[in-house]
Amino acid sequence: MALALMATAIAVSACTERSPSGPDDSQMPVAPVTVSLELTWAEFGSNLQVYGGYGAPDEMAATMVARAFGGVEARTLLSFEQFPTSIQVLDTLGATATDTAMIFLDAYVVARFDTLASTNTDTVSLELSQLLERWDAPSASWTNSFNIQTVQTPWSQPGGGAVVPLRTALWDRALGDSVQIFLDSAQIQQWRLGADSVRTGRLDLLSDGHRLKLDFAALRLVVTSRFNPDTVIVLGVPVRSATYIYDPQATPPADGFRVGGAPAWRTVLDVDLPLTLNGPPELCAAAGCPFPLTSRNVTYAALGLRTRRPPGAFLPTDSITVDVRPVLSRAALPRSPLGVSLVGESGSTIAPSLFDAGEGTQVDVPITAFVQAFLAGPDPAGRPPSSTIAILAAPEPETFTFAEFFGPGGPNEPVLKLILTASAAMELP
Amino acid sequence: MSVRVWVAGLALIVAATPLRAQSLFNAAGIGLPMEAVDGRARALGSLGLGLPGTSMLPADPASPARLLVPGGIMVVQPSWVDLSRDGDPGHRYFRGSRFPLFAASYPLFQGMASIHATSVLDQAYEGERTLTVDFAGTPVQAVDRFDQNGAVSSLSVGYARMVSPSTAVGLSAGRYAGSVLRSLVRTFADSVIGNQVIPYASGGSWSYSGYHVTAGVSTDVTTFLRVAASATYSTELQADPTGQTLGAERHFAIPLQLRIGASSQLAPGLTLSASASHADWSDTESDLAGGEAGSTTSFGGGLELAQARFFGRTTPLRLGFRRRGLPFALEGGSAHEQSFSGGFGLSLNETNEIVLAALDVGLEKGTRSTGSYQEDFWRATMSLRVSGF
Repeated sequence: MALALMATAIAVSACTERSPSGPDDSQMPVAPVTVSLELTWAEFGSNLQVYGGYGAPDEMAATMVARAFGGVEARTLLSFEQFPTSIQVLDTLGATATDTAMIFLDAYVVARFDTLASTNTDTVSLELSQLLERWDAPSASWTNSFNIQTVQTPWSQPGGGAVVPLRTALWDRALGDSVQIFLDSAQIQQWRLGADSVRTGRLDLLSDGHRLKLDFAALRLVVTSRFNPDTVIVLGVPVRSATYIYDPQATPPADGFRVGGAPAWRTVLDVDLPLTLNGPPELCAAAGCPFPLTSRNVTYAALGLRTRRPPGAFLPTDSITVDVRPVLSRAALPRSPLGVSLVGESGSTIAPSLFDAGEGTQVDVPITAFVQAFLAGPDPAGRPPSSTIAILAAPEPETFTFAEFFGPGGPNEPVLKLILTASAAMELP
Repeated sequence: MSVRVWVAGLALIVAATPLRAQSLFNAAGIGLPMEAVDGRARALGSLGLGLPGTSMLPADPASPARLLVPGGIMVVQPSWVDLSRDGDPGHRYFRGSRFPLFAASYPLFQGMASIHATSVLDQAYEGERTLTVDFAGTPVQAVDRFDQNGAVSSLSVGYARMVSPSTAVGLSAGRYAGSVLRSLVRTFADSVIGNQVIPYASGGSWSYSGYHVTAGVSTDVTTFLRVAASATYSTELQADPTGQTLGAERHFAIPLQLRIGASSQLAPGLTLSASASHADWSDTESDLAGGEAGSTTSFGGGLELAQARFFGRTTPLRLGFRRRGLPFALEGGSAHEQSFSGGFGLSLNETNEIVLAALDVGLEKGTRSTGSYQEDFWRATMSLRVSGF
C-alpha cells in the first residue's frame, strides 16, 4: 500500500506539464516575412465623394461665437429652464423650511470658454441679447429659425432675427475662463414670470477676428429667503437647449477629403484590391509570386492621407478623431447605414497642427479589419463584403472645425499602406 | 480487486493526463522513437524481450504464449528533463508524462491473442523566436511562436502460442495512426499603431497511416537460459494533410527493426538479462526536408533479485543500464540516450502463485546527447499488470 501511494505521488508530481523548447530558434520552421507596400490611389481607390449635413450643432457639447473670423460669423443661441419656485432653507431656529416667496436679488448668465480652442489672446467683448422669435434648436441656422423638412421659417433678420440687447461684458482670459453677464431686475422678472419662449438668449462676440468655443453656459440666480434674510443663496437654472448658427456655410470641397464639422462632413470612397501581388522581392522569395493576397496575410492596412489646410475659419484648434466605417448600402448614400467602426473605440486622432504648419503630413487611418473582410469574400450567410467606406469624425458632430486631406492626383494623393506577413505553406520536416 | 490495485490504477490514470512531450529530440527528424516497455523492462535496462517469466510487450510477440490466464497492462511514464547546450550557461527545464503502452491478452485456439496500443514517435515541442520587423519604416518587435503537437501511435493485434514445451512463437500486425498539428503564430508589439495589427498564423495538420508486422520467437534453451528474437517490418509511414492544410502529403521510410534478448538465472532468485536491437534509418533521410538519419544500435542489461520481500510481499528488486541509438539528431551527426536504472515490482494480489495484480516501477537517470545539446533526465515508468479477469 505504501509503495502504491508512493507511485501515486510520483505520478501526480509530473502532472504539471512544461513542453520542451530549445534555447534558440534552430528547431523552428523557416520564419515568415513581414513586408510593407503602398498601393497608389489608382490601384485601390475610386469614386471619392464628400457629403455634408450629418448631425446638428445642438448635438455638440459646446457651442461657438465668432466675429469676422476668416469671414465667418457665429452666434450662440440659448434657452433656459424655468426658474425654481421654492427653496429649502434653514430658518433662524435651525429648522428646514420651504420658502415659496424667495426674493430675487440678482441674476447672471455665466459662460465658460475653452481657452485652448478659443483664438483670442486678450480681452474680448461679448453681448447677451434676448431673442424675440421662436426657434428650433436642432434645425436653426443662420437664415432659418426652423429648418425642418415640413417647416422652414426664415429669421426676420439673418443671424437670429430681431433681438433685445440685454448687457455686454468683457472676457479677459488672463483672469479666468468664465464671464458673467448680469441681468437687470426687469429682465429677471420677465424671465421668471414669462413663458418658456421668453427665457432665451443670444450670445454675440463683438470683437472682430476671433472665434471662441463655449463649453458651458447656465443662468445663476442670487436669492434670499424671508426665513433667513442674512443668507444669500445662489441657484442654478440649467440650459434647456443650446446651439449655434454661423455664416457662411462651408461649401463642399472641389476635391479631396473632408471629415468633421457641424453639421458634419463625411468622405466616401470605393476600395478595390489586387488579387495577386508580384512583389516586393522578399515576399516573392518567401512565398512565391504571383502571390495570392488573402485576408490572413494582412497584418495591417491603413489609408495614408496627407493633411490639407481647411479654410481659415474652420481650421482645427483641437485634435480631430477620425473613424472609418463600411457603407452598407452604397445606393442609399448619403443616408446609407454604416457598419461598425473599423478603427476601434479610440479612433484615429490627428493633432490640429498637422492641418496648419504641418500641412502635407501623412497620417494613417487604419482599415485593417475592412481589408481583411474584403479579401475574405462573402460572409457565412453569403453576403458580399462592403467595398465602400465612409470616413467621418468620431463622435459626429464633435466640433465646428473639420479636417481635410488631399485627394487623388498630385504628389499628395492618398495611398493604401499594407503590411503583409506571408510564408510558404507549413510542411512536415 | 483490492484497494491496492485501485490506488495503483488511479496513479497511472492521473499521471497519464494530459499526454505531453518529454524531449527536445522530438523536434529532430520525424520525432523521437518511443519504446513500449513496462516498468520491469525499464528497470532492467531491457529493450523488452527475452525477459524471464511472462510479458505482453510488443517487442516480444511470442512471450504472451506463456501467460496462463488473460491479462492486461497499462504503462505511464512521467519524466523530468534538464536541457543544456555547450556555450550556453542557461538551462531549460520541462516535464511531462506519456502513455506508451496499453495491452491485453486473452486465450484463443490454444494460444494467446493480444492487442497493443503503443506510442511510436513522439513529436511534440514548441519554440519561440523574437525578431524585429519593418513596419513601413518603423521597427516593431515581433514574436514567432511555434507549436507542434502530435505523435505517431500504433494499434496492433497479435497471436502467440507454444510450439514446443520450451519454444513459443508470435506474430502481430498493426496499423500506424496518430496525427500532428504544426502551427506558427507571429504576434506584433502594436503600441505604435494601436490595436489594428493582426497576428499572422500559419499551420497544418497531418494524419498518419501505415502498417507493420512483427514476428518473434522465444525459447528456453536450458532451464536457466531463455533467448528471444523479433523483427518488425513496416510499410512507409504516410502523412496525409487534413482539413485546409496546404502542406504536401509525405512518406517516410520506417526501417526493419531487429531485436534479440536473453536472460539467464545466475543463482536462485537472481537473473541476468540483456538485449540489443538494430535499425537502419538511413533510407528515411531522403524523405526528410532537412537533417540526417542513420543506423541505430541499442543494447542494455540488468539484474533482477526476485526473492526480495517488502512488507511481507514479494518485491523483486532490479538494476540495469541501457544505451540507445537515436535515429535523428538535432544538429546532424549521431545521437544517443543512455541511462542507469533501478526499480521494483510489487505483487498487489496473487493466488496459487499466479499474480493477479502487480505494480512495476522503474526509475532511470540518464542523458540524451547530440552535438552541443544534452538532456539530463529522470524518468519513471510505472506499469500495472492485472490478470485473471
